Amino acid sequence: MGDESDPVKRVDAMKKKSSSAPAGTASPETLAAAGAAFVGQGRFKEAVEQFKSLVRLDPRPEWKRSLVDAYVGRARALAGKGMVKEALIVLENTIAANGVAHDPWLYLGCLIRQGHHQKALAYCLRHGGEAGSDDGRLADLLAALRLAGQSPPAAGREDNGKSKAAEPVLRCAEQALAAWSGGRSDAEVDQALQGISLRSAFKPLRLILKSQIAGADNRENSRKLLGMIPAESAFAGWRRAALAALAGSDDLLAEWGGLSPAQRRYVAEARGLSADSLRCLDELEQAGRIGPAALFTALLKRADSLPAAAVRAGCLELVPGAPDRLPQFEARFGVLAPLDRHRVQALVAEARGAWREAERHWLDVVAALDRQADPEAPLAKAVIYRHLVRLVRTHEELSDEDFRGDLVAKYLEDGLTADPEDLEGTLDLIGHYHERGETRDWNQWVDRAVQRFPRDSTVLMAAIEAAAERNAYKKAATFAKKLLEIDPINQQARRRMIELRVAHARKQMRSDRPDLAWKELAQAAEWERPDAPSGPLRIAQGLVGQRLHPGAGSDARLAEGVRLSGDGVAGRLRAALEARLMGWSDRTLAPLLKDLQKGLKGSPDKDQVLAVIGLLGQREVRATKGTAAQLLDWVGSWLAQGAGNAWSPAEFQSIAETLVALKAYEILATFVRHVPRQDAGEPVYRFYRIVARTEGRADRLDDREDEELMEILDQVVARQDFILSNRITRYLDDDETGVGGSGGGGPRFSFDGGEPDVGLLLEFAQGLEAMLGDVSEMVAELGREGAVETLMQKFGKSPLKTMPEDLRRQLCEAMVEKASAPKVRPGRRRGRGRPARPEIDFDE
Amino acid sequence: MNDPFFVLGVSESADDDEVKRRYLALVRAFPPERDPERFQAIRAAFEVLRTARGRLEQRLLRSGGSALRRLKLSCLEPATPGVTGRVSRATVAALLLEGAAACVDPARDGKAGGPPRGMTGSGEG
Repeated sequence: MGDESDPVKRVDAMKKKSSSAPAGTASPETLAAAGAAFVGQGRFKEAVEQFKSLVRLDPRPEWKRSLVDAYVGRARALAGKGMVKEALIVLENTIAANGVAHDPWLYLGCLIRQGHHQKALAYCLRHGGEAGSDDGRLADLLAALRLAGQSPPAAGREDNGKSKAAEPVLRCAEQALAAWSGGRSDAEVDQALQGISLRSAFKPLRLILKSQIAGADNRENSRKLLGMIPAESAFAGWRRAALAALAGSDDLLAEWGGLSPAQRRYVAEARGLSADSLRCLDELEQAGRIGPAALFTALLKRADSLPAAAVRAGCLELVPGAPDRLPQFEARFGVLAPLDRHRVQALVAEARGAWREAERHWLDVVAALDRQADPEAPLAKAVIYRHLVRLVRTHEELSDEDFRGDLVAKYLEDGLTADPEDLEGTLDLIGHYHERGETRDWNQWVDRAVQRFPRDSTVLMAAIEAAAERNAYKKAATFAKKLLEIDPINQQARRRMIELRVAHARKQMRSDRPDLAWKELAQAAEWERPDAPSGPLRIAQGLVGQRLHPGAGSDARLAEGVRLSGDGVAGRLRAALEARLMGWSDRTLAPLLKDLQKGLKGSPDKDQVLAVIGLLGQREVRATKGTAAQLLDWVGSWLAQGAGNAWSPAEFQSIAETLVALKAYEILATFVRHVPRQDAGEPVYRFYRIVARTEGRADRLDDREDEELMEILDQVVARQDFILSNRITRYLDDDETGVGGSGGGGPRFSFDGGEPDVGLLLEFAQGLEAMLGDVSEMVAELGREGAVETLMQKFGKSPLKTMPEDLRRQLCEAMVEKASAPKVRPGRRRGRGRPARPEIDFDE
Repeated sequence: MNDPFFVLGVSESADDDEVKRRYLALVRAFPPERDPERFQAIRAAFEVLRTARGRLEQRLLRSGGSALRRLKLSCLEPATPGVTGRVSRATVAALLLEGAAACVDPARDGKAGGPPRGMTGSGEG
């Protein structure tokens, strides 16, 4: 549409040319259309002008109606901006010859807002009946105005029947209000209230006064009475004040800021508060809205009229939010004690995000607590150390381990020294050491925890894990028994014990001792609940049974185990895996593999893929060398056929993680290729595409991938997907390859076929000699196994970290062997030359 | 979260028993089926304050607001203990006029919109 078809634009253009006489240059119809358009656009002032001109030309009824509409619109707009006086002037233009306003509620609202109560009352009486009329809202308004002491001017009184009928009710209401306000007895007030019908417009008065008589003694009843007054009533403000007057002090305080001045005055009078208290509350409320500094100043101003200790405590609370008031505080109340000062400074630093500074001040608080004889001081120290742990974990600038060491462990240990009863802290520390693979500290703290919290199920579960890690099965069983005494339905403990026994049975099988394995599995069965049979245990029993007592019984056990393990490919794979772990030869495995092959027909669905992935992700698959490769050889191609299923990002991530852990990058690449094009932008898919391409090695990233990874990282951080962001960070740190790593810097040896740095090796070898004394102590304290593990960890952080794990383990075992040679019992040596593999001390 | 001492209405020096007593009283007064939001707040406050460690953590690590609250609460005590006051007619009148203004608030959308029955003008002023 061109400009000429828009009446507003045409009129605007004409106005520019000649603002004095627009009507003379356009047709009345155009001007009317422009006026209507102005109304539509909310340009009421211009609409009024337009229609005024038209009405002057020709007072057509429709133009007069439009003019009134424009006036009302203008008045509404003005009232909306709080310009009630101006709105009222505009509305006067809409009053018809009979005195009726075009929008009476707007008109009444403006009158009341402007304080013209009598005029409003007169208008209501003249044009809308009065209290007792069938218009509830109007009657409610009239009742409120009358009770507020407003009498209509003589000219406004209509001597009609309704008015007359309402007079006795009004008198009763006034009497009741006067009696209550004058402090007359409840009975007198009640009697006056009897004259107010519950159908009359004065019903809210009756309800409010009844509630106030019932008072705080019958608060529930009072609330119910007040709840009967509708929120849109003119009595609603009084109702809210009445409710506040009845409320408990805490509730009233919470409500105070939302009360109007009249409501606050009502509460103060009803509760007998002093005028000064009311002023004080108002001042504090107002200052509190501005901020802590203003509140601090308001409190200090009030210091003479309030208890000094309370003012001091209040001001001290505000100082962290208004640190520049600290000198003022100290000038008024004296210098802060070191503890308080450092605490305040720590809070101020935290508010600024200055974490190193906050840490320093919190440590100063701890030092100040050390000097105190307060019995609460140790607990306070523990609280602060836990806080420091949280800060170190959440703020990178505090957790620079290369320079500052493991601060999380340090603060956790310090906290536990201050408060050894802190179970949560103990578990946190145990978890921390476990996660970092620091076996020695882990075991040490688990032992301490078991002594201190012998009946805590989480501690006992950690003790089972720690004992299992040391291959101390008997000890693990002892803990598990204790745990099941406390918590007989603990499935996790039962499952773990079965796993441990089955794992040991495998070793017996590999040593060609099916008889011992059978006994082992019988012991595992003791941990089974009759209502929850274990699939892996049944499979193991079936396989060992086939060796010991071939026959239908063993086959049936195996079949039951397969069924319990999910049947299908997952169950059959479980059986084949178990047989493989027991050291079955290819020939003996053949029937199981044949059975497995039968299941590998066609593409797997989602459930099948997820079940197999769950099995591949189990610890025994990864723990036994070559097993993962073997399993992937069996089911890898079949699994890849399932890549075309529709995977959610979460499912995809779970599958991808297992594949990465098994280094099955080709299968991962197949899954990535099957991601639908419309989903290709999803960060999860993009990240694993890069992982698949680089085979999990960040040093193989090209520039474009490097950039893309940064972009993905930004995206996942923005959507607060911290799991994926941590995963990407780990990938960049090369954690999963074991190359590089996030540990400290320093020189690295290359074991990838290149020439190692001979100088470095020599230097390191000299260091090894010096370490042997320590290793002897280690063996004495931790046993040979523990010493080997501890050395493994130490070397994992040393320049030898790049050494292949097997080689590293051999080195550690040799060191332990050498260090403990004089003490070793002859029977435990397996020969000379290559150091003996440490035995599993099952009966530790 | 609101100051848990405030929510439970206990002082910072309250012990385990007092916290528990107050919690049970509040749960009885505000059961979850009647006031679920308040119940949640009470429950959360109790979880924070149920142990000496939790209370100490609140006192040491948060800037709180309890002292200020206590101060304000002292202002809500009656001038003469145990004696409540009388509300003047003037205060009631002020409340009623405030209520009248609010119920026909011209700045409030919708509320002042519909004309009362039998009061609509012809619009031809």
